[in-house]
Amino acid sequence: MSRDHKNILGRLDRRQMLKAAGLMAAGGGAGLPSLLASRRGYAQTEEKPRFLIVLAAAGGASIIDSFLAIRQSEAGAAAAGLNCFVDSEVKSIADSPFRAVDLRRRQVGAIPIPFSSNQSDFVTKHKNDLMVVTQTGTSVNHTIAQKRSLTGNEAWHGRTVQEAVAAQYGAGYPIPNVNMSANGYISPGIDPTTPAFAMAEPVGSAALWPLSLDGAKGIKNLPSRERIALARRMRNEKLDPESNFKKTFADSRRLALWDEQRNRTGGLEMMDLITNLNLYPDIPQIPLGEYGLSESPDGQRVREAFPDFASDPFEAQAALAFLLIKYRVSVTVTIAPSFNVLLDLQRLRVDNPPLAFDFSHQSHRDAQGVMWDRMLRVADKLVDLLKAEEFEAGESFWDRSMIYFATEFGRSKRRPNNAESFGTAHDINNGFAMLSPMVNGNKVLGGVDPTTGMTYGFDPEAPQGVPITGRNMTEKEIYSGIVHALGIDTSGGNLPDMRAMRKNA
Amino acid sequence: MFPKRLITVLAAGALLSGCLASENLNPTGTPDSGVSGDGDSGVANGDGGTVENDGGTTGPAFAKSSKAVLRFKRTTRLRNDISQVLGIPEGEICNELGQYSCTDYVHTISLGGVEAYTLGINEPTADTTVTTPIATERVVLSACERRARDDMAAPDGALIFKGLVVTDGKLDVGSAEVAQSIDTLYKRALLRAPSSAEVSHLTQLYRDIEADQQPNPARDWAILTCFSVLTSMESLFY
Repeated sequence: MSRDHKNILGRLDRRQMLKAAGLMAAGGGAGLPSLLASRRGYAQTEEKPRFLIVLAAAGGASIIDSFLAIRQSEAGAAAAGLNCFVDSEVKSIADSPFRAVDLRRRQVGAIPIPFSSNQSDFVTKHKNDLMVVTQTGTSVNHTIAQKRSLTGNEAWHGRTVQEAVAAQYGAGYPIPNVNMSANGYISPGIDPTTPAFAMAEPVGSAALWPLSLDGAKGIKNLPSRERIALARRMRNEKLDPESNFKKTFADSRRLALWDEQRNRTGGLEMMDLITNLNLYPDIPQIPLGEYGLSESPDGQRVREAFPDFASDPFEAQAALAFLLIKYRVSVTVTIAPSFNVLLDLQRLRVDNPPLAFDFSHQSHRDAQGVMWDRMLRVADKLVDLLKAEEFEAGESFWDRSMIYFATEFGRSKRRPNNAESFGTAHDINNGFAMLSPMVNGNKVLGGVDPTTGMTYGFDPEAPQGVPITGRNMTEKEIYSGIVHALGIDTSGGNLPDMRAMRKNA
Repeated sequence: MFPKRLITVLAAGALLSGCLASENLNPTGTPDSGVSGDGDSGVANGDGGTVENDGGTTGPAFAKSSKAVLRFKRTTRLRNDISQVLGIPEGEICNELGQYSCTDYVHTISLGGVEAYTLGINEPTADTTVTTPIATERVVLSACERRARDDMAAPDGALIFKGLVVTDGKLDVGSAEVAQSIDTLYKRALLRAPSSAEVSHLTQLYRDIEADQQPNPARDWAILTCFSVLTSMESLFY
């Protein structure tokens, strides 16, 4: 995440200057100006924010195992060797081009635990905000493909979609870009002009991360906050600047960055994020009251939406993602299921197969079924929460949000002789789903050849969605469609106009 | 043209003198002899950013690093250093909610660590992030509270805040024990003695604390003196 600090202080645009002014005013321990800047949010930037949640479908989410599924009867003679489904398992959704796969199986690969997955309820509920686009990528390496799903293979100087959103809308937000994923999904972009504030803040344990948003609260027997502020100010204004160490390394980029970062502490503490983002109730394992802490005012609500947050890191991430947006801490949040197996033995349930979607190597259909179900359940809850939260003047947070189901690649399209249990490899041919009131909803852009399972592209200029067989959409085109749907100004970036992907094209 | 060349020569000479002088300095560029005296004579303030002094208030001239390459200690080194400086077992320096290790679990990523096995984060961030200073302060405050508590409970056997005379929660900030405590803290934490200015700032901190008329100024001063030094840039970067 290396950044030339000159980008922070030496090359400021208007938005950055406003932010820098707030930071300078904050000074040593005084956080009020930066807090006020944060609270002003978009007012400071004179631009209403749009929010991006990246749900990283780690391992390779196959689009033909969900919204573009193929029925055996459509594949004809190819059906026996093609990844297609018994007709009854592929649901058509009324008044929609989408399909959905509802499965019931007795085990998940070699794991002797039954599962059922349901996509049709989700698609039926959210079809008007759902858009599926096809794409053919350029890598079957997980880490590389993960990153390319976010940069469009360096479509815009290597800036990730999250960094683009944070740079556009996040100047007034305290931590604009929070990333709880791993590997390529957390890898920073390489655009040296990306402002430092737009770079991702990594999160390890989502449920406990709010503890890192206050320097003292929740620690027993400490001096008062006022006395701690005295010490901070003395350190920042006397000890450090007068030390020979600081003078010796006066040109250190990292010391300058540190100075800027610690001057934001007071503002973050005044927002009481250690409370507002805290998912946990006061329980024996998490004795909040004993340590002077309390749960978020929204704790009960997010726990109802994500009841397994304490045992399932993905649910904890989703809950935190909502709170980060609701409390106007962030404009973009990235979450992802891990590659670790997660079993609920009490309920006899596979929450997360090993390797997530990449368990498809061992058992394609089961892995895709369990994981798509998992992703859609989390997305559904996030949409519900954001819809119920007013942004301003009757407009909900969801009205200004997008969920992007990023993934590395698709899977190979073949199966051995009518097999229901089979393994697949990686395939660059696939597609993405996006969920947002800002995208061209209830549309499949492109299509799939039912005899090969290969997707094909579409006319990027045609909002009605004109499929073009023989055309493959590039990473750059899809990246462009995403950032433009989010209203990102990419002037001079030489990105294609993907009118087909925008609701108000 | 000529003056420019002259300046270059002088700068080179000053740089050379800085290099020679550095033989008597510890790696931080500060004298080993304890409280600093006036700046050494004969070297003007940096003329090209290569050599500076501070006008003779805190230290001698020293060479300014042209590369200025520093690293944050990150989670493991931070934990180990705090443990050693404050004489607290690694597992006891900071545990969130009394149970979860600050450095090894809760704040590992914020503190620049990795967690490959359960989180899949196998590369640390190249730079500190917004939460790094906050997490660092939590770790240090927790450890310093423990050190101050233990030292003040048994002043004679104290590790850092030794022999402090506390009356009604207050200190005689001008006492030799206070100065000695500061000296001990600096030598354990930064491997050097404090400058007179640093001693002055920390004793002034006590006066500022006591001025708010709240209880336990002596105890709070001990915690916050420890905190100030251990969260200074000199302590956290190398």
